[in-house]
Amino acid sequence: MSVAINGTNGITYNDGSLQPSAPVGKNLIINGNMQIAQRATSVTGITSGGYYTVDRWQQTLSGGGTYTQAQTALTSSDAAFADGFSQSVKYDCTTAYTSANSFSVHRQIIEGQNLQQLAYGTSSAKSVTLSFWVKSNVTGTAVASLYSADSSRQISQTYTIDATNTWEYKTVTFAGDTASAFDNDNAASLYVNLVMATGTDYTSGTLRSTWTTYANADFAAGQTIDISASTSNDISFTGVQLEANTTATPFENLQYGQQLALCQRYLQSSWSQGSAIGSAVSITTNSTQQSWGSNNAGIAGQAFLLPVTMRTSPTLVVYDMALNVGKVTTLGNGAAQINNVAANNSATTTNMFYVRMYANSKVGIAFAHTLTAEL
Amino acid sequence: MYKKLSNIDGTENIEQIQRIVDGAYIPRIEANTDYQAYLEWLAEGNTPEEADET
Repeated sequence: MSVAINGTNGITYNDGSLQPSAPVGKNLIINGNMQIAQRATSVTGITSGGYYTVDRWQQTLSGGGTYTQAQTALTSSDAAFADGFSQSVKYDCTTAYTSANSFSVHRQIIEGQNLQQLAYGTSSAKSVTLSFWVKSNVTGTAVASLYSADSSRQISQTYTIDATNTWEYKTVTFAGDTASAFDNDNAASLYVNLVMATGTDYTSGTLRSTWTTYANADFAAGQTIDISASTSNDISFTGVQLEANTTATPFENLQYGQQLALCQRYLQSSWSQGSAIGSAVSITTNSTQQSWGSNNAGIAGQAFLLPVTMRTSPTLVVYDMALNVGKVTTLGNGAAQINNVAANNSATTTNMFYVRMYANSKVGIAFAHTLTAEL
Repeated sequence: MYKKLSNIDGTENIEQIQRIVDGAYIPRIEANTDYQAYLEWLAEGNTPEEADET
């Protein structure tokens, strides 16, 4: 067998198959191909920052404007599809807004303990390369940046969107920070930013091509694209990869189950894959049920072990079968259901949770739930 | 807005706080970002509601 070894592309075997040059786990981004969307596949009327559709990806939105965000399927006519991507995330401006202090960013935040291999804060700090596919109706210059929450330092690069409504592959490389380390813990350390819209408060300074202390004026210096400027505007991303390298290598594809498990470190729910959180539930669908078969008073509850250990003890939200938040459904003899009942107690750890009822004369409870440990 | 929680014996549940808008049970763990938001809310001079009687 003959092979061709290339520092960028890796090893190409004589049958044309490719073995990427970097090791398994090279992509520091989770869900870079926008494949997992546990919360929902489409959310309208977004007016503030948060997590809405594709897992691990946060939309920051400050100052004004309204967006629809959607996980959007690619087709064979899309260039990114030919590169192996079947999903993307699309940000569509539905109410335009421009002001000096407004901005919106497609962002992922990474735990410090997942960044130690970059050796930041040492003379061996590694460069990282961010690669991604982007499509927009707006052409011009946009900013990709890294921000360290541990040192309050940033570094930025620009890239250009050259053609309207066309998938384009982009790469930007950032030098390592030899001066400041990432904390080795489960807290937020690195913000990976793809700026979508920004006012002049964030562009009036200078592009930071080396790691320096954060300043608002420099955050998006060089950005000309402003998706919030018109309801005609939209922008889409997929195939986002951040790797310790000075060049971009092929995207690291994970199996669906692997990707889902990585996402479940930050979000788990009782809703089945493909069912949006908050969609219809019943005692047999998208919910968790505890039955203890007693009509006597006392304490009843059950601990549920989680399929994936979460980043930290998560926030628990329960829903009854009528989707009242913070409430559960009690189950009586013959499966009679009473909604809108407050649970008496609950607890969460990184690997379990429970919900309890005190002095309950029913024979069980049912509820849907979410567990959130996002950064 | 937040509310304290109580244990079955009526004592305060010091491990969690409840967010009223969605009934979320938030663990009092510093790494939890919802708890961080609660601490910021407290720092603004706000006070959580007392727990319901058990």
